[in-house]
Amino acid sequence: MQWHRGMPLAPLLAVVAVFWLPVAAWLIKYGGWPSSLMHYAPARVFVNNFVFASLATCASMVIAFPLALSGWHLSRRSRTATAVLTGLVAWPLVVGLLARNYSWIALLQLAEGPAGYAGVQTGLIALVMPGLYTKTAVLVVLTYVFVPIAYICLLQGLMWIPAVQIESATLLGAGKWQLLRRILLPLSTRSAGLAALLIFFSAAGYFVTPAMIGGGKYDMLGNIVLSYVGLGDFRAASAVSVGLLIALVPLYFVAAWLIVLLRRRLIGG
Amino acid sequence: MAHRATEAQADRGIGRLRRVQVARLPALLSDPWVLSVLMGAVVLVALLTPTAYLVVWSVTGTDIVGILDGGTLHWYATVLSSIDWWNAVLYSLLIAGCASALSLIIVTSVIYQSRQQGPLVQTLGTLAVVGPLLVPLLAYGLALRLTAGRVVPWEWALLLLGHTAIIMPVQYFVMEAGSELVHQHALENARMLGGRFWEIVFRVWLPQMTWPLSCAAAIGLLISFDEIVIATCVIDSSTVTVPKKLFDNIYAGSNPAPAVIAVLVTALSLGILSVLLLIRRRVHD
Amino acid sequence: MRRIVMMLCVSSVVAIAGCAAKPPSQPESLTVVSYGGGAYQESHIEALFQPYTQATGTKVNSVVWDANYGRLKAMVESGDVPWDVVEVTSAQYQRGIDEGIYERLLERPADASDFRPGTIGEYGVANVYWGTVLAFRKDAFRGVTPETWRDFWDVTRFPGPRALYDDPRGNLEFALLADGVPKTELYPLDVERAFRKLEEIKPHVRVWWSDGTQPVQLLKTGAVAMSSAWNGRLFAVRSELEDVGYVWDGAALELDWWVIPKGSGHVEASSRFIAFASSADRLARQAELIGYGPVNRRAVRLIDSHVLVHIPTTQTNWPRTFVVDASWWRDHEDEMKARWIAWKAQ
Repeated sequence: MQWHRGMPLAPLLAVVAVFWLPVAAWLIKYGGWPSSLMHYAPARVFVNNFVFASLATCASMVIAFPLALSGWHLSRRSRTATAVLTGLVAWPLVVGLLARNYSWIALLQLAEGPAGYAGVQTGLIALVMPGLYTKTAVLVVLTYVFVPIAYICLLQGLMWIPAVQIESATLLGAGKWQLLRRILLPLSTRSAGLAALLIFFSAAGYFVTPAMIGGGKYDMLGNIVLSYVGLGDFRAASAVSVGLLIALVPLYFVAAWLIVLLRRRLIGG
Repeated sequence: MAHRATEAQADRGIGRLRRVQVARLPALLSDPWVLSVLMGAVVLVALLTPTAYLVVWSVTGTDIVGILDGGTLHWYATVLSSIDWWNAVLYSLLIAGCASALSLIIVTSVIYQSRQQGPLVQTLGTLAVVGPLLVPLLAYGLALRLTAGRVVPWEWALLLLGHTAIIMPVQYFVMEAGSELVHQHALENARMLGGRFWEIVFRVWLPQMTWPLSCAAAIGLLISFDEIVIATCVIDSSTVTVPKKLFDNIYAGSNPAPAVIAVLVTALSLGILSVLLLIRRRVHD
Repeated sequence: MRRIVMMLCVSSVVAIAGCAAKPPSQPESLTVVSYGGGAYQESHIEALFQPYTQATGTKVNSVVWDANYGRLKAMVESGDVPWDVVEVTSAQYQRGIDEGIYERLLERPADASDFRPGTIGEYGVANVYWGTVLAFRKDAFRGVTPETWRDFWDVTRFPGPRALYDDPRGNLEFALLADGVPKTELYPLDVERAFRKLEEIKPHVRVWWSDGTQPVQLLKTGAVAMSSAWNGRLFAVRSELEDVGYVWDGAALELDWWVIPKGSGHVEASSRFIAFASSADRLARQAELIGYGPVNRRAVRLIDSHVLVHIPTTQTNWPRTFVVDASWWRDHEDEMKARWIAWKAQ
C-alpha cells in the first residue's frame, strides 16, 4: 500500500525543531553532567520526588476509577449525562492551577480555625483534613490536581471497548462483577497505563503544589531547578534537569511499549 | 480481523461464567454500577468543593488568603473595569486557541501516520512528542528564550511555540488512550476502495475520533490558558497572559483575583459550550 | 507552485529582517523594570517615572519582574533585550558584573557625596536599603515581645511555630547573631556554627517562605508566631497590621541596584534616568510611599516624620542593623545554595 512516506517526517521535524533543539542546546551549553548531580540535588530529594509522584499517580488513578466507571455506565444510557459528568470533572481544570492551590490553602487555613495559631487542629476537622504545610497536605493536593486528567484518560479507555462485546457477554450470562473483572479491566489496561504514565511524568516535574502547600519543606525537583535558576546557577539547574530526564527515560520506554506493542496485541493492527 | 484478539479474550472469559452468582449482600450494594456511582459521587463532591469554594472566596475574600469578610463585589469590579485584565484574557485565549489547534494537528498526524510505520519509527515518534514531559519546564522556557529568541524575536511567537510543545504530550496520551474507537475495518475498506489520503483522513478517520479529539482540544486549551513558566521566561513586555498577571499580582498581596478570574473563565466556558451546543443542534436540524 | 513558495520565503525573510532592525537612537520610551506589582510598582510610577517624563519628555514604560536572575541572564545572552533599566538585588548586581551582563553607566548622580559609601558603582546606582526584620504576632506571647534573634531561637520563652526565608542568605547571619556573635564580627561567616544553630530551630520552622507577601499572610492568619519578613511589605499593609509588630534589632539590610542590561538600545537615556531617580527628593518621595531606606542621606531628612520609624536608614534604626556583605556572598552563594538544599532535605 503506497502511502506518502515523507509525511510522518514533517510533524516530527516540527516537534524536534520547536522542542528538542533548543533544550538540547541549552543543556549542552551549560554542561550539566549527572556526575555533579548528587552535589546539587541530594539523593534524598531525588527519591522523595519520585515517591511523591508515584503516590500521587496511584491515588489519583484509584480515585478517578469509580468516576470513570460511572461515566461509562451513564454513557450506555445517555451520552449527554456523560458529557455533563465530564464537564463537571473538568471544571477544576478550567479554573486554573493557581486558583486551585489557593483554594486549598484557604480551606485548610479555615479548617484550622482559631487554634490555627498553635499549629494544632481540633475536633472532627483534624480527622478529615490534613494540616496545612504538612506532607499529607502536599500529597492530597497533588492527587487532587491530577484526578480530572486520570478520569478523562480512563473514560476514553472504557469507551473504546466495542458495545458488541459487552452485549455478547451479557447475553452469555455474565454477571456484572464478572463483566467488570474479566472484560472491562483487562481491556482498559492500556489506557490506564497511559493515564498513569502521563500523570507520573507531570508529577515528577511539578513544583507549584510543593511550593504553595508544602511551605518549602517538601521540595521536589522542579522547585530545586527553580531555586538554582533564580540564583543564576545554570550549571546546577541543567545538571538537575539532565538527571531528571535520565531517570524518566526507562519509564518512557514503558510508555512506548504500551502505545506501540500493546496496541498491536490488543487489536492486531 | 482487527478485533479477533479481543473477541477471543471475551470468549475465554465468558466461558468460565457458568458459576451461579450468589448475592449475599443487599441487592443494591452487590451491583458494581451502583457502587461505582456512589463512590463516584463522593469523589465528585470532594473534587468540586475546593473549586466551589472559589466562588465563595471571590465575593468574600480579603487581601489575606483564608480570612473571610462580608459579601462584596469589589474584586469583580476591580478586575472587570481594568483594561489590562481584558487584554490579558483576550491574549491568553488567542494563544491558547492557536497553540491547541497547532498541537492537535501535529499530534493527529503523528498518530495517524505512525500506524503505517514499523515499531522503531513509532517509538522514536513517541519519544519526540512526549519529550516536553521529561524535561523541567523551566529549562525549556530558558532554552526557548535563549536559543529560539535569536531566530524568532517576537514574544507571542515564542509563547505560541512553547505552549504548542507543552500541550503535545498531553494530547498525545489522551488521544492514544481513545484511539481504539476507530474501526480498522472501515479504514481498510476505504483504502481498498481507492480512497485518497486526505479523503480517508477527513471522512473516515476523524469522524470516528470526535470524542478523543474534542477532549484533547479542550485539554490543550486549558493547559495553555493556565501555563505560567514559559510565560514568565518569554514575556518581557507588559502584554501578559492571565496566569502571568495573576502571578505578578501575588507580589501585591494575596487577593482573590485568582478566584475572580476562575469564576469569570468558568462563565466564559459555559457560554462557549452553550453556543457550541446550539450550533450543533442547528446543524443536526 | 514552486515559484510562489520561493516568493513567499523571500518576502518573509525580508519582513523578518525589517522587524529585527534596531529602531533609531532617539528613544521615545524607556522600559524600566521593578519588582512585583501593586504598591511597590505604583510607588515607582508616582515618585520616579511620572516626574521623569515631566522633566525630560521621555515616556517610561513600567514592567514588573519576579527577581529571577536566570531569566535576566537568558535575556541578555539571547541578544534581544527590550528592558532598559532593571532593579536587581545586591547579590544579582555582583553576579551580573562577574558574568558581564550589565552596561557601564554613562552618567553619575550629581550629588555623589550625599550617598552612603559603596552605593554608587560603575555598573549601577543603589536605590534603597531594604531590611529583613523579625516580625511577630503581638498576642502570641503573654506580655513579653521578642526583641532580638536570640529570642527567635528561644523556644521556651517564646513557643510557637516560626517561618524563615527559604535561602541561606540572611538566615546564616541571624543564626550567628542568635548564637552570640557580635555584629561587627559576623564576616567571614562561620558556616559550620551557623548550620549547627539553624539545626536547633529547624523542627520549629513551619514554613520556609519564598514570596514577600507570605510572612504577612502567615502572621495575620496565625499560622506562625514569629517570622522574618521584608520591612517594605510590612510597611505596605501597616494600616491593617494592628496585631503584628516588628523590631529593627539585628535586621539584615541589603541594597537594591538600578542597572542597565547589556544590549539595551538606550544606554545614555537609561543612565540619565538612573541619575534622576537617585536624587534626594525623588528618593524621599519614594520612601514615603514604600518605606524602604533611601541611600541618599539628604533624602532621609526630607522624609515625613511619621514614616521615619519604618525606615532603616534613620539615626535610630541604622545602628541596630547590619548590612549583608555582598562580596562574601558573591564568593560563596553557589555552594551555600547547594548546601542549603541538602540541609533542608535531611
